[in-house]
Amino acid sequence: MADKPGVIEISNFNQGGLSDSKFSGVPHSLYKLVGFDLHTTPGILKVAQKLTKDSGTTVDEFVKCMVVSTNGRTYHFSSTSGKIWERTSAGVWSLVYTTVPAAGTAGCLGAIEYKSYIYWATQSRLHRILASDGLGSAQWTANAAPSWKTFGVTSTAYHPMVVQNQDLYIGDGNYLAQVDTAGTFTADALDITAPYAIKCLGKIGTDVLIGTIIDDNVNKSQIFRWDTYSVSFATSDEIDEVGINAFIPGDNVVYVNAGIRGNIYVYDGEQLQLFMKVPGEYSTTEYGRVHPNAAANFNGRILLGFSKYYI
Amino acid sequence: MATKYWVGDGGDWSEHAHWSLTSGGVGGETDPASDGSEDAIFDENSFTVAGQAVTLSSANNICKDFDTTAVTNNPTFGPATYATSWQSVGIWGDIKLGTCSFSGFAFEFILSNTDIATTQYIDTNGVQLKGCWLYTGYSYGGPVVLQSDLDLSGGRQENNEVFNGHLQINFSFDTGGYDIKASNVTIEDWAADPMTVEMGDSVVTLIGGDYDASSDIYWRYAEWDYSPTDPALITFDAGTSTIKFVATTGDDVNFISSDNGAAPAYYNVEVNLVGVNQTAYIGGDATFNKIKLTDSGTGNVFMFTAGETYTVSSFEASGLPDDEMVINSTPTGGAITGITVANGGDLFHSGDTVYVYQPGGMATILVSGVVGHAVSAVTVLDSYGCQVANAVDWDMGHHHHLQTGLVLNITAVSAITTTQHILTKSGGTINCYHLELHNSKATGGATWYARSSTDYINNDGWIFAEPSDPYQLDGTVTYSGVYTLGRYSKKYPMVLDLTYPISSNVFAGVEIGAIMVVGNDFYASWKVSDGATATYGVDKIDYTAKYTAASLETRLMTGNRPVFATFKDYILAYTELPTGTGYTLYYSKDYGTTWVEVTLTKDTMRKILEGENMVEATVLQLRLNATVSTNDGPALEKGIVTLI
Repeated sequence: MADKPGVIEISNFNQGGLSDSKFSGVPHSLYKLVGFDLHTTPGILKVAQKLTKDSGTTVDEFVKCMVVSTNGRTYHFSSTSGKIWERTSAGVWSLVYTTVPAAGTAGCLGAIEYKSYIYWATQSRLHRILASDGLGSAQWTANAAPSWKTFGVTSTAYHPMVVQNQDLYIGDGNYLAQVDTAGTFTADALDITAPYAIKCLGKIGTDVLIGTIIDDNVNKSQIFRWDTYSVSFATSDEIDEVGINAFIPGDNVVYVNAGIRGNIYVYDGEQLQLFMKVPGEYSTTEYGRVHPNAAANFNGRILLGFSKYYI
Repeated sequence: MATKYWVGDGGDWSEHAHWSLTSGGVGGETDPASDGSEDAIFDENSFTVAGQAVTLSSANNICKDFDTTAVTNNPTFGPATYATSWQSVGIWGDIKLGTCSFSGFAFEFILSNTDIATTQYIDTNGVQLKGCWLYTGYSYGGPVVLQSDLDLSGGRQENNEVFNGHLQINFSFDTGGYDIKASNVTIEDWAADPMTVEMGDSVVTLIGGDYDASSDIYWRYAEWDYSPTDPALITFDAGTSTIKFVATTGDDVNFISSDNGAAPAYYNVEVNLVGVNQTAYIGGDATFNKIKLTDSGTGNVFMFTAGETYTVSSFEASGLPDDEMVINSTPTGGAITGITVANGGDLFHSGDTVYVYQPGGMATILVSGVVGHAVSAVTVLDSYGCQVANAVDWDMGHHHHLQTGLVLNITAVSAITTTQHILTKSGGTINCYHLELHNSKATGGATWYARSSTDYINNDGWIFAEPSDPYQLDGTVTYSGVYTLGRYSKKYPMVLDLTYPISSNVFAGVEIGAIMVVGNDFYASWKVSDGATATYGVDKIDYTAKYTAASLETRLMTGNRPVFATFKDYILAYTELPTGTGYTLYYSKDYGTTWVEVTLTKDTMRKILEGENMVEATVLQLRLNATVSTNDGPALEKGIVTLI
């Protein structure tokens, strides 16, 4: 609408962002806003830096887990096969290892570095390598410990990982597995009620947050909060969404992407409340969500990797 | 076998007084032996003062190593002025340079060694071999390896025309990953032995020289000429190299992907035209990682070879809103007959146009877009069938004075091009902007957009999308990519925007698998699928380049939705507008699908772009596209629309 008689101003871009639709939004919001930097200089709309493909032709499968290692390199895990790619600090990519688990599928369903070890999980097995002994393919071949431990449920879909209270927690179906500081593996440190399966893990205070899914057709999911030492979780909240997809790291705020329509919730410690929505049009065959590891905090701002799916 | 040291300041190579068996010793020795067994050393005892020059006026200057690594006082090698005969030195060993200069006139290095198993090395150490013609092998030769950048540019011809040197690769050659600068590079197999050319990640910059009016010659237009006699003998490894043509002034560009047989696979080829009425000839029937075309000049044309196929992984070509980039196919077939010359005219070509210059100042354009410096398909016969001019003549740029009444028939040429060139890419999306397309076929499975472009004639496979929206999808999608949910500080609200589209600039069928932050960088892994085929990658934020298709859209109305309002002035108040950057603004009335561009005029004093378009509408939609230049982009303070 006109700001004053005869004049319409479009400004203060950093206070509006994307509107909810072409027809409605907060003041200063815009219907489409692609490739701009709103925040570096408040009040000025600059063009954002571009993304450039860094992996060349080396990465030839879908990566859904990436790890920054204390050995100075990063690791990128195929979600469909056992391939693991290494990127050196000089930007050199290579296929460093191919996981052949003792049982189950080989696609990586979760990965993290914990207590100097790089852990990665396939359906049935947890694997690891000492990061300082994992420089290049020869070391990986010599030093990796494939199929180090066996999961209890052997989820085919998700093995999210989070470190809280000095222990490593790994989702496995309705079990939460644990690796403690002594390297002891426990397949069922916590169990939640089936048919809920753990899809993503987060943290609030000193507690672990567990995001769950039943399946792609059930519009029920729960978030559980567990203090890591009690026999069971402290609180849970149910929402009518197809899964809690990802925890989104805010500054002392926990956001969650849930469902398949771009909904972002804020978690107040006990309950999830709808906060905003990734705008767009969704249908029974077109939906979108954030993969469990596709959210990060970059220089104080949240990055959300939003995926569009066709059915 | 001895080492010969140069002594006694400037002189000619053939003068025995300048050769000694010891550094700084007594002269009087013969120049280095013609069997290539003796090094030629120019060192700290060779030149006592600056401004000295060494010429090579004999035809038989040969040495093993040509070594100036320890030389002082920066001597100059080569003739002092333009010379019709070239001064050359045959190198049987290595070229090792220190701080010396080359005069830039008529100088050749010929790396030639009868021991073809021995590798010869070139270490220029940053010295510019101005205008040098460098052969890797001649009648015989072994592998040649670069150990530093090779810069042959900066030479001169008779009337001070620029000549940027020539690299003739006749035997195995390894760039070592170093960069090369020259007017042109020719690859031929002068021996009957297999040879390998390895390009590594080198950038080969080809820069045309100046036009010499006295001889009617373009001194080595920018050219890459892959011309094996026996293609089976050459193994060409493009690595991740870039062949970059920079055509300055009025010279043309010629990329001969292969002059004989199948072309090798190339990596990146970039052509940048900056002058007026230039033509870039781009040969095909080859695969490329990327073809990139840029044009900041006027009246330029990018000619792809008619009937040839260009298989690419990436294709970038965009003109300017007020100056579309012209892409065409080379002309084929046909003939033009019966052109009569009056009173002794003059037949010549200039650039890509053949003229008959009639006395009295009238020039008749016979054919345009036909003749280039290396096109061999044009022959001009008179009405008796006698040859007036042929391909060789065109190449030399000769004028032909014609007899009065001569009737010209031009054969094997047609002014009308009907055969398409074929651009093919499997999967994904290509977005090009501001093109004028002629005889171009886009295919292969990818979606080829020519946005804000002109479908001039005979094009297939291109989608000439509505102007202004590089992200126009199927209308029912949500944009995929890396969003930012953030704010500058706590006093501002958290807002969402799509800050980082993935590198392939695709928004549909995209999944972001994971995001990882490493210091001041972040990485995003992705998958792009159309349901049948998928591609994958990991992107990284690039601090050396801005996103090239930033765009916003909004809706304006006056508050009373059904009431018409008249929108009049459009003002973009910017804080930064670096050279090569800008904005393009479009409007659409009443939720229509037709977008109209607003012509913007720049007012540098007030730092605004403003335009006037009186539009009566109930709702006005605006789209704003930002144009960037590598890592520079515009910065917008506000947009203002006035109503009356």
